[in-house]
Amino acid sequence: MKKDHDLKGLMALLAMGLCLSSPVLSQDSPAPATVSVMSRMTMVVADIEASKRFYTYGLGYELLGDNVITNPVVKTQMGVAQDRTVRFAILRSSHMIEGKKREGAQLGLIQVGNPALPVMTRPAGADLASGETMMAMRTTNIDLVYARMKELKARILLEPMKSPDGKETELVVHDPDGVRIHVVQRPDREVADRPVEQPK
Amino acid sequence: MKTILASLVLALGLASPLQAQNPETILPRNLLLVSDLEASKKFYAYALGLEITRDAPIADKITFKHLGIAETHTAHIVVLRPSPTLNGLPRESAMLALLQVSNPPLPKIQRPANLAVGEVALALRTNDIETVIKRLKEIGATFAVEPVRTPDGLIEMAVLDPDGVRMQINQRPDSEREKAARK
Repeated sequence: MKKDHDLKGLMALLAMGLCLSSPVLSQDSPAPATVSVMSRMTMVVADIEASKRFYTYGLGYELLGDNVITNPVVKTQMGVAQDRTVRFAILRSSHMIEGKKREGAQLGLIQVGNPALPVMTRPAGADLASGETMMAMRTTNIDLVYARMKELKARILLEPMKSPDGKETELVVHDPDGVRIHVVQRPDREVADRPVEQPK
Repeated sequence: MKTILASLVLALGLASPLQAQNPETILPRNLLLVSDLEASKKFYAYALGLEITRDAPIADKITFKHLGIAETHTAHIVVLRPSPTLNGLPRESAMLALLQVSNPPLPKIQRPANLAVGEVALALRTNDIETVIKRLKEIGATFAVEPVRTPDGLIEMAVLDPDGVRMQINQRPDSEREKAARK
């Protein structure tokens, strides 16, 4: 575990958001009066070692910290009883992608023990269900991601598929707990504010 | 101890030149499969204050293939953008998209408890939690943990979105690190 993530640091990370300040809203602009920003996705996992391996080795994430949570406030916020054991790891996505500095939202991995949590399931026969959360990721090397997914024995829902113009390749996998991830490789362009699908 | 060692080895491994051989991946977007788009829009755009940048049916059939659903379905997407700045500092964070598949609708995921393996909890930070709380109550959202105020100025709560996705929402003063970064 990294020394620079003491409990206080972890608390700060847990509470951390990326953006909050309100840009000035003009008089005639409608609500919202509030500004909210998504700072992190935290996945509830069954086996934190398997998940760490999946995201670091499989997708190239960097491990920022991995700690046992003892702070009662944090447990309360997560809705787990104080006698449960909680382990929490934080991952950050790569900084450089195609020569540009990119920093996505952080990923958190949380494992609750004593006893372990029940598992969320899709109805029998369904690979997609409402209420589930998917991630759309962008990579610089989809061949390598694909090879590692196979090596890690990840469930592959869609083999790498090229777009009609051949410029984009998309791969769909499940993480070790069945969270759906769409991994895309595409030529460089602004992605931060680009909608998912381009209408024809 | 073994675990700690393994973590250290992993961390060192990532910092080594071998990193060049790792794929570089970022997360530009998180998608929620929703059962009632209007209810979800109220939750995310009205109550939480995220900006809608796109609200349209998906015409691109390749997306249906990616999702593994039949082309006879209809799908509608709403893209929500977080604020691009934090206290005057430019920030990059993931976009949030709501996706509703209809005709017929998708089955619902089975969540056996308030917290379950396989779920993804979102963490949000806001500049006006009082308004967020007021609006969440107005639209009848479920509070998993009522707002808690700590002595150091943090206000935090946990709410469930209309499909039961857990959301950690807080408002807090800037950290020292953030204050330093503004200078």
